[in-house]
Amino acid sequence: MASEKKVVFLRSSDGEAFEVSEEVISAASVTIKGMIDEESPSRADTAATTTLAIPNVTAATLSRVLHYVNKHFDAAAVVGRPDDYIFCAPGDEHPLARFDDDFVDVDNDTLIDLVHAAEYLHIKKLFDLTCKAVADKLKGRTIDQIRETFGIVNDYTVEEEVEVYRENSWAF
Amino acid sequence: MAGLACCGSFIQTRRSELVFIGPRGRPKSQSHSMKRLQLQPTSASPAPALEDDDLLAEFLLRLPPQPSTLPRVGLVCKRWRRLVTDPRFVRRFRAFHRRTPPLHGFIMRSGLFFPTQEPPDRLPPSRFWRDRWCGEPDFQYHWGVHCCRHGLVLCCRGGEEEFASEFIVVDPVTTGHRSRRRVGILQHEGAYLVASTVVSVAGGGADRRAFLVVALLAHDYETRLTASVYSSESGAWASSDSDAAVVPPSPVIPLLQPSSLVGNAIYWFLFDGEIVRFDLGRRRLSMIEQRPRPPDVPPGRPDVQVPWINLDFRSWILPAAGDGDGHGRRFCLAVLSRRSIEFWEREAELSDDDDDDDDAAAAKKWVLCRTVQLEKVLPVKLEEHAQTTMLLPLPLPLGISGFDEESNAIFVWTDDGVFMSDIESTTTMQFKKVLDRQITRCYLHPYSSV
Repeated sequence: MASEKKVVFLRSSDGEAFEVSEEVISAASVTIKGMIDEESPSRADTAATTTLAIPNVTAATLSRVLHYVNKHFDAAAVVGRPDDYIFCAPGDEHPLARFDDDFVDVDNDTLIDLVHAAEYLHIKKLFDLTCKAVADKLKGRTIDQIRETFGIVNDYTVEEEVEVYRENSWAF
Repeated sequence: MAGLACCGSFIQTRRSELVFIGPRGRPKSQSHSMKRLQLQPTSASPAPALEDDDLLAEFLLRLPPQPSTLPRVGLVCKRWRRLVTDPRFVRRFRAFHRRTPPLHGFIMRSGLFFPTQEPPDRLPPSRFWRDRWCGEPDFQYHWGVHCCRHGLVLCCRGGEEEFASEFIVVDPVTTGHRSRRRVGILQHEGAYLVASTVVSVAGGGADRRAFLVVALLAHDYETRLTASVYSSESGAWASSDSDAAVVPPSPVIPLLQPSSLVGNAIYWFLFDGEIVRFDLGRRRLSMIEQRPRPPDVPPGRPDVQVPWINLDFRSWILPAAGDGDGHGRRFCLAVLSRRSIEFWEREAELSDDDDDDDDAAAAKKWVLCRTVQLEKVLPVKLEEHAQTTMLLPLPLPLGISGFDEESNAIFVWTDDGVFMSDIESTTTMQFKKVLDRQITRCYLHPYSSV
């Protein structure tokens, strides 16, 4: 193992390349770890760095994802216990809890792009975080507000809607 | 961070141009007929992630497990309703929130229900009508609630005189044919029912299709105990083999205190503080003998090496703290000792072959692991009653009324109401009031379910 850190380049769907430590991204993303493992026999004897194409993720989303990955999976950067953040209540003073709150405080489109990226790259922690953030956007809203927020078309007829409402009227 | 925010708005602009040509913006300002028109261009749907059933499920899964959550989001559109009423999704939702099920209320042995949720999270009262559970009037005269676990309520009729017991398993949260299921009658000639309990077979209440009912029977008014198990999958009762009977040191009377599930075993306190255990895997009973209470030694003294078992609402069997999320096998005892709760554990775990070395197990020492001063954590002033009488033998109006195994919550009654605390919390216990009623000196089955 070389003493300096190996890096890989990730090329977004719109052609921008991002540098990231191989160790960090392997720990974070199952998908990229698989790609690197596939690549490694061919590049074992060369000093050339690998560039991996990430066709489903745009540069903007990828840069956000890498910001998250560097914060959460780079052992040198993580403060405190890296895996405990998920158990912290919102008021907790864990630095990553605060980071996560800020990270998902984005508009719906950006958030859903992140969900797709986390799913494609197989980064479970990020997938959990972003799905939870979408759920939080649904939480505490009226039905009309949910439809409005996510642009969902109400396909109930008035009669059907009344019927479903009546069945569950206790919950409103 | 500023650069990223920039990217975000950029991508948003671009996405709105390239992809999101659907009805983003303000559907509320649009007329109803316009919304109908927009049904056609589904290919240009506004939020692709919400169009994918698998991803939508991931989002809805993470909504809070409050009782009103799923019925409400089902009103958004037909597809959402199809998803949240799909039994597979409901099981996933229950499994996801398994450790934080909302407490719907308390059920007394008589079947009386005391709700703890406020609208809109309070289930319709009809779900808890006891006469509806048994399908006949006057539940309280013939039936009794023996157990609440994994979202299931076990009702039992008969017993002591009739040498046959009838059971119904109710799931008040679920509607439809699974909400009330009859269990075959258990014939127990020459034996009487001591206690019965229900356990869901898979997923700790997330999957309630299959369940077991365990009946503890005492034979011939002797002290011999056996267990019979009903499996909803086979639809039949099976007795544990007769050589597996256990013989407690003193006669056994029907038990009122609910059983405890720790790991894969059911535990009951017998009358004198002995503990009997039923291993659900091997379908075997065993005794965990308790040293008798030392006479004339006040509780809480450091030299007393045994928990002060007093079944007058003062002792409970719980999963031991930090034992693998409650899936472990270690149990502990919570014992009320004047103004504190003591947690006792046996020094060493029972070995796997405890059948052969019960005596050795009994000889193992008990260790006081933790003492929680109730004055600090219970927001009520505990006033001693002026005089202990026959009717009021407790020095303090305080007792353990129940325990919820999924959320690891213990419930105590006081003159001021029923209080709940998580026993697993690493810092200290903190009780909060969950029922503002003076229901003292009785066991309450906490009913919690996602």
